[in-house]
Amino acid sequence: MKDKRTIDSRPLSPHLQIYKPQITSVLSISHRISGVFLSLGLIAIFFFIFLLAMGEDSYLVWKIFSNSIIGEIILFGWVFALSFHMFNGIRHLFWDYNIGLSLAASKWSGIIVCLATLITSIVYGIILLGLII
Amino acid sequence: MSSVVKHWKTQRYSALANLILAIWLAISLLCIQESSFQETIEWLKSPINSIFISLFFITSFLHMRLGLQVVIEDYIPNILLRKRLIITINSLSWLLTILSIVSVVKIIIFN
Repeated sequence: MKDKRTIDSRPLSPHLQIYKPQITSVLSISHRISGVFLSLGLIAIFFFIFLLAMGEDSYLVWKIFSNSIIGEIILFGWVFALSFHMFNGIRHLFWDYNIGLSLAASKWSGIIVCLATLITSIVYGIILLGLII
Repeated sequence: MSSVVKHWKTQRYSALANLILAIWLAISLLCIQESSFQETIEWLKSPINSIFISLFFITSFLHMRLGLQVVIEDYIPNILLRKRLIITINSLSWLLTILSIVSVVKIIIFN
């Protein structure tokens, strides 16, 4: 590590409890929480392909898990976290180009992210439910 | 380019790649939800799907590794623990990336 000293001396994030929750701060921490949750989802997808490669018997384990109610709920949770992380991620990419950084714009884009996440999840959930029934 | 800038840029580029790949995967998972073992194998063996899933694993594990590193740097005050956690996550994500590609190749060759 070249810049060992910079990494060591970087400040820590302030504790969240100090702030009054606002849409901007809530979405910011939700981005991280959904990111950590998606890491678990990525490992689950890895197991899907890994068990598929191991053969039919191993794949049966995945099939039983993914077709169970718990599996369906996790898949839905994954899509919910994914769509939120994706829409909010697009918001972050715009910010990186200096677009929409004003307080009003970031509040509005935050509301749009919430609505888009809700719509995507509901549509995906209905299709998923249609497949199960 | 300093490693910090490289980290920042890689995080953004992998995010852009994931934007396409994750949408593709979410739709694909819906399509193969009801498929049997053989049908799923056939799905994966189609060149577009095997290339996309491999790319998905590469960019996603990269994005995950960089993202988790920032979270750990922000919330773990103990320097030693922090470094060990980052090294563990880095190694694990490389290992899983390689294993996933090997799995895809194995399916293409042996099934």
